[in-house]
Amino acid sequence: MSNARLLEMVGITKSFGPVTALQNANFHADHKEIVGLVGDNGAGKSTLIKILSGVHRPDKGDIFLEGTRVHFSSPNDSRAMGIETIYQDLALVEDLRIYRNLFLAREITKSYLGMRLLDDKKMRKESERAMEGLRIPIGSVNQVVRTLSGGQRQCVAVARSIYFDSKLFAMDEPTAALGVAESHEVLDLIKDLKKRGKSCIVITHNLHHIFSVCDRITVLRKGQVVGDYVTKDTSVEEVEGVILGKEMREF
Amino acid sequence: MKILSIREIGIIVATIVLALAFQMLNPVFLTFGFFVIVLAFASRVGIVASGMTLLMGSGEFDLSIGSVFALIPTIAFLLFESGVNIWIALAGAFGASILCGLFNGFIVVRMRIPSFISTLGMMFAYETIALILTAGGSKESPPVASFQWIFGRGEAYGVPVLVIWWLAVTAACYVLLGKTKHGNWSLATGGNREAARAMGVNTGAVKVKNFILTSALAGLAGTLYSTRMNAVYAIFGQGLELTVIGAVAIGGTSLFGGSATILGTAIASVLLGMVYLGLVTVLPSTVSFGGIANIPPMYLYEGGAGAIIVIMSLVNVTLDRMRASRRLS
Repeated sequence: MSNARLLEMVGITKSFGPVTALQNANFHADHKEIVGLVGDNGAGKSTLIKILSGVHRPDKGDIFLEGTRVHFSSPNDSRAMGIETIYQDLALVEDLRIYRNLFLAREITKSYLGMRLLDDKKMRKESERAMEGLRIPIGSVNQVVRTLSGGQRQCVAVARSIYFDSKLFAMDEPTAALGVAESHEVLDLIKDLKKRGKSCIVITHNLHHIFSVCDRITVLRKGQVVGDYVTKDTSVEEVEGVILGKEMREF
Repeated sequence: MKILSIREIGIIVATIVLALAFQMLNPVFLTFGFFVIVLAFASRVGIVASGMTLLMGSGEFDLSIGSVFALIPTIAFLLFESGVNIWIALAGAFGASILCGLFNGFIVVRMRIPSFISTLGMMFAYETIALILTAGGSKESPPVASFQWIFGRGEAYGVPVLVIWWLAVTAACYVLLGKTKHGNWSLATGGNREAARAMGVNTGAVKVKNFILTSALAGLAGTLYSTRMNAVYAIFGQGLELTVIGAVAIGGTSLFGGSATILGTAIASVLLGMVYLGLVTVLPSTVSFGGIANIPPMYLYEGGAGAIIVIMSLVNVTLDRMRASRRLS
């Protein structure tokens, strides 16, 4: 099944108590494709990403990776299959040093007298290597994350994913809370990922950012997929209208 | 000003200053023979505080350790009394300490009761069990020479075995916190639980392990101390929990989790030991407050420890602000 899609999510339904977050949602991403996932607050974007990353389990629906059906019961499962999620809050621990964050839950260890101890030297070196190709300068990997700017944090999160050689990146609001210059750096970072042969799902409220990097745009409203557009065949106005639920026929 | 970046700098300076002050008032203070007594006192706090440092690093704390401190030797001594071999009795008591920690962790992690209130409840529960087991009285330490030597009364080169235990526990916890996956996960759990979980850390398991570690060390410290004192009674760990948490906090570990230092905790334990023995040796055998009361100086210890805790908290907060403003400039 070599021509199968990288990711296919079919009929995904998820409720939290009485609240239906997703209803029969279909979503896909191809190889070397950047897909924008847009929708108003509460449309179900983050729930969809959390299902993809193994944080939530869907009530109904199937996930296929390169044609094979997969089940994720924890974030570790999803990551083991090459899906890396970069959360809105970046999932970084502010009090930990950069390299300890990069290797969190995947620490490199070395055996001393039969004990498995952390190999800080190697983790430091590997962290520096992972961040070399990225455009945002970080400084020493010994710093705690608390001292970093928003763009630098994004860069650490991306470096972590690149290092572990993921195929598909899911980024939840990568440019929220960033200034204009930093946002552009992050958008360039996403384009770099595509050049490296990776695919990327980007969630953001900023349609201009979506239009500047995405090949395709999927729109969610009230837990359902209400539109799927190739970026070059649509406009900001059209997508905005679908997000808000306005009928565009009258134009 | 690179010195600011050493996080234990506050407690180190305070300890040196206090040591020199007591030395000036009483020249015996910094002799080997005397300082060993300071360290023996520090061990009582320091052994439990090492585990508490990891627990607080992971964002929880344990108020039940004072009761576990008395309960575990009670169980060991009682088992011995009923005819069980001392080492098996000890293993049984050790198992009980693990159960205490497991139960504390279970209530906090599974039932989602904040550790402040749940371990407060367990403090009373464990104390009551110890009271029932001792019938409100005391239990004598088993008169087995090898046991008594190893667990509290022995000395090597003039250093009490208690102090050796403390140093060993401190070294082990230092490695555990700074050099193992569990240590990294503990700080990640305390620093940002959601992030740690999203990265695949089992934050619940991390906390439960730290509760078990803390309980086991409380049991060890209690056994050492009661053997040294030759008996245990149910309330003899009362108040220890707050001294221990105080020591961990003034050593530089965050009360909210995410950052922790075993070295700071160890030095803070010595500082508290110095306050106790310093007051006892420097002051006259009774202290009079304007003729109102004549009391032995050991009764002033808690006041002294309290003052140190408040002062060191102020010092640490000030140092943190200085570091933050340096970072911004």
